Amino acid sequence: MNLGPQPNPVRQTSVIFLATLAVFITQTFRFTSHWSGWVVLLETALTLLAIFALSRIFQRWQVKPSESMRPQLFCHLTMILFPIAVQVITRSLGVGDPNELVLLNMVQNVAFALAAIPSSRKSLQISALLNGFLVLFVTAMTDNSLIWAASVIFAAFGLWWLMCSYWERLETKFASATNRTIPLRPVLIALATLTVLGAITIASVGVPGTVMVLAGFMPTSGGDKYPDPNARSGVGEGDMMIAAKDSAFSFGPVDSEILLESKMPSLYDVASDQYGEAKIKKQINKELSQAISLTADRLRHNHKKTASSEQAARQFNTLRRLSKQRRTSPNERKSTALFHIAGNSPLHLITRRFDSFDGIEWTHSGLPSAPVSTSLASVDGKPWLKINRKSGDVLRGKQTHTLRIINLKSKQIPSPAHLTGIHIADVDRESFYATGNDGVFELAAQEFIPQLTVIHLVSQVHSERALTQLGDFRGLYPKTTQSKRRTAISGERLHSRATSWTEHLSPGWGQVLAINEKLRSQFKHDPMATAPDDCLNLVDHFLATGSGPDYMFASTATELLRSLGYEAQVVMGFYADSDDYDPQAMQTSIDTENLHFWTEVHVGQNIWVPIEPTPGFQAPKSWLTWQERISLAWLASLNWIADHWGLISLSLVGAVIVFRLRHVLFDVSSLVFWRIGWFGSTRRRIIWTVQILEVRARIAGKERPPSITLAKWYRALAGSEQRLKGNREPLDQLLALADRAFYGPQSIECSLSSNIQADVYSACSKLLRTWTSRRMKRAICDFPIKQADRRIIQQ
Amino acid sequence: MTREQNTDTVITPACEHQQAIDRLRSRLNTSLLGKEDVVEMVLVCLLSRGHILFDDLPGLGKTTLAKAVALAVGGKFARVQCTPDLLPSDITGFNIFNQKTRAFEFMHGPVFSDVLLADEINRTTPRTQSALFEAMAERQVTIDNTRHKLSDSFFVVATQNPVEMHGAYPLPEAQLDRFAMKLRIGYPNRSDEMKMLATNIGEHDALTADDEPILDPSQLRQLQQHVAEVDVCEPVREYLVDLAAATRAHPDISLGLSPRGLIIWQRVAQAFAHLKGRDFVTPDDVQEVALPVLDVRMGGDLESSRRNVSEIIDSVTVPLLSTNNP
Repeated sequence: MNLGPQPNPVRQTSVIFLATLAVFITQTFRFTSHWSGWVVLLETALTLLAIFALSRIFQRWQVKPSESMRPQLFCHLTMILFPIAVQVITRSLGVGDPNELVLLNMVQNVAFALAAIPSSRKSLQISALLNGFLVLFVTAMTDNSLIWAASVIFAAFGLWWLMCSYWERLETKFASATNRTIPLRPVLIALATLTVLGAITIASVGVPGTVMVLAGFMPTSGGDKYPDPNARSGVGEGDMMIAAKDSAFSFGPVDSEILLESKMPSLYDVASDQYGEAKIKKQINKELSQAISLTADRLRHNHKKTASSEQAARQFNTLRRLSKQRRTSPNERKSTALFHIAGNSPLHLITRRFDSFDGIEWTHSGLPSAPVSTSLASVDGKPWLKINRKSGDVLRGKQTHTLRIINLKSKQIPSPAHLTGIHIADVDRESFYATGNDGVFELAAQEFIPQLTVIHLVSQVHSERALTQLGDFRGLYPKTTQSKRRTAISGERLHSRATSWTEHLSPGWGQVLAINEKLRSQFKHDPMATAPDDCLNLVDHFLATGSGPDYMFASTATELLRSLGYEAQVVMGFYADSDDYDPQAMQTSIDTENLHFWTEVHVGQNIWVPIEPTPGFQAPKSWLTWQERISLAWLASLNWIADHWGLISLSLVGAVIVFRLRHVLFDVSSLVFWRIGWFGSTRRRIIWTVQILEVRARIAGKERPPSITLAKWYRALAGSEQRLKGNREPLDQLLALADRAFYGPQSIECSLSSNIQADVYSACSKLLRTWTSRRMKRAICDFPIKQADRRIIQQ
Repeated sequence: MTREQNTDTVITPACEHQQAIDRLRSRLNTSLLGKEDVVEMVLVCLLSRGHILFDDLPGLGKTTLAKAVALAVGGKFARVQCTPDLLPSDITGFNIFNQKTRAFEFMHGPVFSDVLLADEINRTTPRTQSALFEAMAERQVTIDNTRHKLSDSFFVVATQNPVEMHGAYPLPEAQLDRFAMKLRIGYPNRSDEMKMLATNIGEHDALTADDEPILDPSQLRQLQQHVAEVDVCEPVREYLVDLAAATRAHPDISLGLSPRGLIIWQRVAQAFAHLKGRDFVTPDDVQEVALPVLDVRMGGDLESSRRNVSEIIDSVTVPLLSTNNP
């Protein structure tokens, strides 16, 4: 069997480098998900040590590849079985790796062994192929940034290796004899066997069955039919069926949840889930308490009662009993999405407004908000409900969003402020829509929005500049309505606090922003905080403690603004966080944990402008002029710089150092790259050396004019710099080699003896070590660059 | 000029006449002191089968050098002093009727030597000049419809005095094109003149002591054949063509390089590369021989020639990578 030409040592080094990168990538992947990183390190170290020891043994004993390649095959087989042996030991101790990682380890080991102990040139090619597969596979299974970065390096180096292989093939002479290196008979037998087996399988179980059978060849973890304690997360269903995170909802019973009559939570359920159950008020007004608080068990069994008592959703008790850890990461949340929203985020979506507060509970007074005229219009053949608003200069622009209702049991349409249009496919009757007393649009004749409904929304945004220019807009709200509001807080105490926060500010939007900013900057958002059972005044409690959940912020902001004479109300709805945006699905998923409270301020013309008093939540989007955008961007940049001054300073210092040492760095890196990154013919090495020399000269500001030969230019440089003058010999050697490489009539290998070919490497290496760009920079060139050269250079 | 020291890392093609060339060089340097670069160019011209035109003042050693070349290559030396009354037959030869044999005998002219020195060629008439040039170009003469071939190593060293132009017949560009190169010897430096005087004390002829031929004409012919086989790769050929195009586009050059001149340039570069010990031509070789090769064709004084040649070379990019092997 012709094993083909023996591997080039330089080529082997390159493939070993690729294999090392692949090992790093694979083991990093294992390390991040392994039960013990030390075991990973130990196993990897032992594997590499074994391979290198064996390769040294082969080199020392000068083991030549025999006809049967037994020694090399034995080594390769040993490396393949090594991970299995490790697994036998570790699993006997009760711990182990998932099957697919064991397989990866086996592939990794054989790839490395083929590179370190090659039996022929084909071994290196197979090793490179296996390494490429490993890296591709691991990269597809993870989003670890370190692995991705290493994969990019692998890809770049692998591509370079492929290109050099191609060039090397072009330069070597064709073989005088074409002896086949791959044994034909075994290959044909294997192909025939696979074909026959495939045909039998298809005939027996059909094509889908065959595909399913083929999937069984890939060992996976995750209990498809049995539990696997060594499994990684998420493959197959395993012992327990859980509601899949990515699907809209799962059909049928789920083991991880108690069986519910209906899976669709109402707003009340959502509030309970988010803030805990409302506490039963110990004081009077027992009628109200009986109607509201229900424990979790009773809620489930009396679900129908809860669903039918819609009254419960129209008030919000600020005394809550929190029972579980909230605000988990998206991956850990077990609840399904209530709905998805496509469009800009962050976004505040309104579901309820509360305008009456007795100190601990927000309700709606029941008084209808100012009517809004609507009409049905056809836009691009689609029926739209147009909401006509008098916006003046306050409301500007247009933004569109799309709701995809999944699991929300509510008839209110979660919508952004300043809604101007609603479209639901095939809903072409204006009477289908209605507004509640709080002004929130809802479906008129429905108990709740049907699942899988898609609702398109168009809204406007407010202009900060226009609001600032409004002046004092207090008292613009209809007085008949004002008198109905109840404020249980002592007006004087709150008023003095609000006044102190807004001193030196004229009445108007500036004061509103001041209150808002004060709350955001001086108070702490604590979702787990609750008011004591005997609390009579939530706002006082919040102002005293300085921290609380979002509804406390909203309540306090509203009351403070009211104490100054502004019309304000609390809004309950959903906050679409930009962090929850799914770029692949291009939507933001909203679940119970997105329930949120904020404040709205009336600025006249029936316009309620939302503000966000809770820190950690972004303010509602406002319309900005391009000057404001630039200014904001500039301020954001300055803030970013201020926040990251350490990193920026370090980067600047690093950049300055790199710039000052750019010659040294380039010289070192080019030498390293020349040593490890190149393989190919001797001629190519010489050309590569000259090219590096030319680049160094260019960096040193001594770029050779195109009309001047290498010899003339570099000898002129050598004549003027002491260190270069003392190193003329390597230059003369290289110039002579370069002349033959560039202009010689035949491959340089044919004219150089084997000893001299080996010396070419040292000659080129010596030149690159001595002819650095720094030294060339110091040299004075005798050649004045003439006009003609400048013309050529400019061309 | 000494031969370039080749490095140990490069094995040059074996040249069986290398020692002979070294001895030849040494001999010529002895005959013309302090002018190694001129001697090198003369050798280049000799190996490239080109002819030289010396445009220099009298008494600088042109005849001495020509004689030394003739003796060194074991050939016959002839000298023609060109005067206005010189006839073409004085150059080529003529038929004379032999009374005894009652037949015409051809009397060979000076062109039937191996090395011909034509002194002050610009003093003879254009008709006589053309007879010589025909012999230079075709290496044969036709007299009375009989073709007479000249020596294979026929080598002409022509001279002209740049100072005394009165009554002269300046060579036209078309005829100058037949020369491979124009050289100027110039005055020797002080130390060389001192040495020259010292060597001439007590001797009437400095060459009588050492006039054994170094090469015979057949060996010279082999050398010339070897030089003709020196490789010129495609980028270098392209470089030559680009340079020729640059001469034709140059505003100060009335007549650019002809294809014959281009061939001569390539051959001269081959000879130069061979003397450097290489079996291939590099752009350096092309540039080194550019001035003498182009000077004979451009006319004008040395400074303007030098300037023009420099501009031409500076306007063309030197090729770096060979396309022979991808």
